[in-house]
Amino acid sequence: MDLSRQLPSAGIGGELLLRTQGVPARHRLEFDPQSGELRLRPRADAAQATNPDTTYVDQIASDGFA
Amino acid sequence: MLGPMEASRRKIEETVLANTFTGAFTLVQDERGTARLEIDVKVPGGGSYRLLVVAESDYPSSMPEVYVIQPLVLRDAHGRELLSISPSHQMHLLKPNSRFIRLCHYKPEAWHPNVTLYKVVLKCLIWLVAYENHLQSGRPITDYLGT
Repeated sequence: MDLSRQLPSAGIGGELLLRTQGVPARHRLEFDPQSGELRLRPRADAAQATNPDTTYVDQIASDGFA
Repeated sequence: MLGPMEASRRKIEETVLANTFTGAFTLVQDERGTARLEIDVKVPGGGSYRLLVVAESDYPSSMPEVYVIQPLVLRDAHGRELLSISPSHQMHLLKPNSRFIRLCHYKPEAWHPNVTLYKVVLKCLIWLVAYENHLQSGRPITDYLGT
């Protein structure tokens, strides 16, 4: 069953929902220091990140909340 | 006078925060060594919030506490004040202080002294994203962040 076709997928919230359902992440979650905001980048484009100060937040998001 | 958070650690914390939250934070430390970070963050396409991060004198051995201090009143999707339903596992909220909700962030077993206040803030920013999605969907925050 492809959960990604059944769950809301818009934006970061949709991505977080999919991850908690066990769907492999389709995007890399980043924090952009220039805008001061979280953003999603397609994994296929991740190598093209141009800002060296970008922080990859995937691990921070996935290591659980108390 | 600096307390147990050594000057070198504080310098690291301030440098990392300044690189990414320029002009959006203050970090002060009292005579007992308790550090208080106030920082403004934005949810993409959503609201702005001010967080208060309190790092006690034994930080970074201990986890800091994080409160949302602006907006002062936050409600859930059913209109209930988050302060009144805290603590709440479904909303990932810890026991609050008298005025502010307190956010869950790192699990104790995941905490490590190398984790910086910057990473704590990013983790709480993810909580805020989940909160705003909860307001739209009615789903508990655990649906977005896991249990």
